[in-house]
Amino acid sequence: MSRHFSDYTNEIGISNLSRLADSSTNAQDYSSALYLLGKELGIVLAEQINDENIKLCVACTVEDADFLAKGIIDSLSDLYSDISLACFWNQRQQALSIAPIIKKYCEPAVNSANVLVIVKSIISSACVVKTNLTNLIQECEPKRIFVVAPVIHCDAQAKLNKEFPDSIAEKFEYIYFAVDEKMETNGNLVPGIGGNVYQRLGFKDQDDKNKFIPKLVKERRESLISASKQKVAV
Amino acid sequence: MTHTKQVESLFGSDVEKYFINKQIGGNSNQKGSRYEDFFSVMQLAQLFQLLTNDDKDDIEIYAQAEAFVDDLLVKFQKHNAQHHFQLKTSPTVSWGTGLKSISDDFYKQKVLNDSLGVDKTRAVLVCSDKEKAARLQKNTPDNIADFTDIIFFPEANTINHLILIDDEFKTLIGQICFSNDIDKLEALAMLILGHWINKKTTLTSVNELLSTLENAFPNYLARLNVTENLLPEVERIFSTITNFSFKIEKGYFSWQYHDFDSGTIPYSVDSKEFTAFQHEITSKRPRQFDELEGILL
Repeated sequence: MSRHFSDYTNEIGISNLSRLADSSTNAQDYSSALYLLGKELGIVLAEQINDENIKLCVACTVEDADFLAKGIIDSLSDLYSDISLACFWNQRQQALSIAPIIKKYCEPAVNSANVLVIVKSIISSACVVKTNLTNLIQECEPKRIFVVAPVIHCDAQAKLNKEFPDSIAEKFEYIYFAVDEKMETNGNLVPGIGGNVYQRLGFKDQDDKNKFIPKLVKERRESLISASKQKVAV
Repeated sequence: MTHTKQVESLFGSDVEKYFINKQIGGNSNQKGSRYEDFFSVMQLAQLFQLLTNDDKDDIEIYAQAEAFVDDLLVKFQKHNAQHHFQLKTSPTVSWGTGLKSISDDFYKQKVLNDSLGVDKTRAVLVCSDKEKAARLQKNTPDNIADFTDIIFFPEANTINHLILIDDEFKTLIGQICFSNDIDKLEALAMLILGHWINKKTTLTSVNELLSTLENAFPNYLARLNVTENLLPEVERIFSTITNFSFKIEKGYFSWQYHDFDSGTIPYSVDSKEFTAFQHEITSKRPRQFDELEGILL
């Protein structure tokens, strides 16, 4: 197995990475493992950020919102109250290495974020991360950009860096637990996260996952609307 | 038709050999030449806008043309004009003198074109170093100055990178794309790049290249002549959903809810997919955004 672990990885991380890689893990246990990995990544992130006076934005894709991103936000919420969320629905076209955005949930505070955390369950071609990060840096001017994933491909950092001018790429700080070298012809890493994340989470395909609205988005949107109604009432 | 014999009669056999070798060397260098391909994408974005109903077959584009200035050639048949491009990423590029120099290639290209009856020749040196381009512009030799231009075009690792560092490239793609969002600009530029790389050795008609792009789905091209609008019933349903707004621009439907949710339907409003989307709205009759958003995706 061509896998290496980073210095951030502990026993909890290794155990949950194994649950993802195991094809017999059902969708519920799979999502639970992603949430726990998110919690662990959030703990590492908090150590790395080490600054209470920041405005934090966590950005994710629709399939990662309720588990991985939720885990990270839950860990960071113990230390930071000012966390905004951006969530993207991408329509990936693997042949062209593009992933245009068809829907975006972006909280108003994202515009003033100075630390950006972009989260993905796996980073291989870096195509989706590149697209969403490019979109976000049109909205805000982060001083630090964390690229966070449980598993990345050994070439992912170089691929992502070359998508941006040096002035942006030099802000990237990568946090991950495992680095995989082996890639199948369909683009999945081995052991990676045990295949295609959409299917492991119970979605039929890309179109099916793009019709999904994460609970995290629904809840946070509802609180924003309620807060704005209260503001108007006052 | 080959110009080799014409070159020999104009300049002699040594120049004829150089002219033939230039084609062979150029063809091998062309493989995997990212800089040239990215520049060609920008040229195509410009040329697509010049196509009109009357002149659809007017413009032709050649990668690695049979020419002295040969990296890219654009022929405007109706105006009997040719634009030749030579692309250089070397930091030591200079005009030079004598056979095989850039200035001599440019000069000979003009002489050759004049002898072939081309009414208007424009030769362009495309340089990846901005300061170098300015110096070359200032020092353009007198004998080629009248028909020569120098353009700065940056080297980039990827199309996304190029859009982020070159406003002119971004603007030109934006002029033919349905959206100015970078993800859509990148998607369209990548689509053009893919078509160009696949077709550049077999297809010269700019109009045919555009047609093959238009047949791709989704293609991200602006549709300026589309007059379709929403069904009145769909418009009425949308008007009842608080804080929901929409617009149709360049033939595509985009929407916003409050100031945090937004999206674009990735097919044009005159497509059968958009008709199906409108029928879904009228059959499900959403009354609030929660009921609508699953249909919008």
